[in-house]
Amino acid sequence: MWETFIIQPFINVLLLIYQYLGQNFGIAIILFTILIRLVTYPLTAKQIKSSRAMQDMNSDPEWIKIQEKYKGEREKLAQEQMRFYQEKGISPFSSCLPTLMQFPLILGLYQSIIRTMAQTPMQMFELTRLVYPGSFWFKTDLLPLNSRFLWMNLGQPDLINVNFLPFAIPIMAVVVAVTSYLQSRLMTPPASQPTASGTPDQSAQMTKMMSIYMPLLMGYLAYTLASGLALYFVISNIAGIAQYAIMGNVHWENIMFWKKRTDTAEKSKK
Amino acid sequence: MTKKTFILIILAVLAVMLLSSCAGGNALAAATSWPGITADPEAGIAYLSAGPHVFALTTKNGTLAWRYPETPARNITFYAAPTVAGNLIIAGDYRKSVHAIDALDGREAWIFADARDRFIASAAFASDTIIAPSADFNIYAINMNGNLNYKIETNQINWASAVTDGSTVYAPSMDHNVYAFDANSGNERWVTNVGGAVAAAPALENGVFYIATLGQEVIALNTSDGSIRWRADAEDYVWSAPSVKDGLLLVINASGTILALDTENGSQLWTATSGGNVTASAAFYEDGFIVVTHNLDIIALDFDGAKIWTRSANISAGSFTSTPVIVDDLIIIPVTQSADKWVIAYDLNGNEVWSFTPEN
Repeated sequence: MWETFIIQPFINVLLLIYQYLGQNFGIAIILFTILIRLVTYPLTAKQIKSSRAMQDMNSDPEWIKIQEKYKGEREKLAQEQMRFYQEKGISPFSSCLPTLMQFPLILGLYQSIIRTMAQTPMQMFELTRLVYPGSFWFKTDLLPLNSRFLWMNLGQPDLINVNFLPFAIPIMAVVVAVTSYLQSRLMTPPASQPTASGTPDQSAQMTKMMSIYMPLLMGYLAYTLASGLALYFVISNIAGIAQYAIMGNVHWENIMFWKKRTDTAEKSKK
Repeated sequence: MTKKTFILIILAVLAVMLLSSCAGGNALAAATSWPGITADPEAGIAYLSAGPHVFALTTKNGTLAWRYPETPARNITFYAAPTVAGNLIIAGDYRKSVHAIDALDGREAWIFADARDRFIASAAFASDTIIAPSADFNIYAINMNGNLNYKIETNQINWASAVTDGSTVYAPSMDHNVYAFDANSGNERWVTNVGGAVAAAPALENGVFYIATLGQEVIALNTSDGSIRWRADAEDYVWSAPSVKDGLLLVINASGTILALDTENGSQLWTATSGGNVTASAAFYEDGFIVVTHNLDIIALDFDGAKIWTRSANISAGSFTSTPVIVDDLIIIPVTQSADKWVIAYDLNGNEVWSFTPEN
């Protein structure tokens, strides 16, 4: 079912894009990633909206009062929280549900890119069996797909040898790590106020940790995987930032380190 | 680090591992394919490239003579059928090297490591030169000491083995071209565009060679100047090399249709169906030829396309995707992605004689 309803249509769309728009697999990956992001945009928009409502709740004076009132009474606080959600029309699951719904599409996109970048006869044989029979648009002389894009062979990990260096440079891994970091920083709201008890916000700490570890992990993945997937990660990150920007939810101040330093310096002067 | 942070990081690591496993392991670099087998009838040995090893099996009973390397090497797998080159067995790996192995004891003679991508095609052997097409867009000519003689640059990956008449090498490429060059010097004789990628070796007979393309065509070319004699419709992709014997050309397309063509003009003599997907070539024997299918069927047909017998392999999983070899009146077939038997040998009546399952 997964194969029939997700992978096969995705692969055929990918090949259709390849056929008519440049006959380059790098361009096909970029356009297909953007296409999937556009298709899932309503879900993303809903998710962003719900997340924003949840964030706004944290700074709502009424909610802060409730937290202070029931400090130490966990069960009661939970009941009040549910009541507050109902009153304000907030659904705590509405921010994660769109993400869950998008997950199969993103995974399908990822898998279909891998399958289309057939690197062995067995993989290419399987790919040809997935092309819809009688596809008027798929010309057999297109095979093998052109997997050279910019300096990369999209089927291989990206490592560039420079004459004066004794080691190869994984350019795409660095780009993936940087764009992942930027994405997570730009999408993260500024740290909220300390909690009623005066302790630092744990979720903010977690987010901060994640914004460091995830880009490193993604960079490592891009270093070991085929550069076609690294290209997909980069485009996906950029498209993610663009979607948040369209919704006016990008926190540029999070990456303006110089501004923060100036503010801190000014504060300390005062 | 709080407990929640720790859990979150573990979840992130798991997500990365999931994505990584979806990619099929290490960068598609550890990709698998169908195994390859070659037989040396004089030595009574069949050489099998399958996963981490090249195995030497006695054809009579399937006992293991040796395996190379003795201990599996990280990230090195073999799938291209080995080539017998004098006392050496030549096997390209799926990383980027060509290995020369002593045919007697399985010891490494040398390793050629100048390529930048995997060797999917089997090497050809002519005039003490090993012709090894690589997926790095080059065809390497290596001497018997493992040094590079010359290389021919192509415009795409190379998955098809070359053939040689002793002095000239004919090498099809996935770039839609067939390259003919002098085996000793590498000097170009001619290049012909055949209009489709070629993933399987050509068949050569009487100054004509025959190729089947992923452009769904069968094409006959003159070896003298590369001119095209005729083209015929293959009705589907063709992954297997054409087989030719006494004027009968057999081509099996991916859907399993067996096309018998007249070598003179490409006209269809007859067709037969195998009932499954096919990526293996037909293997000739005295009474006819053998076809194996992905759904583990072995079919013996006579030269008019009539079925002599059909058998199904007695294994729980796997497929027949590689061309069998027929030696010592045995049909020796490698099994792709099998849980138990990696090779099965049948007699010419389709009865299982022996099987080979490697020890850990």
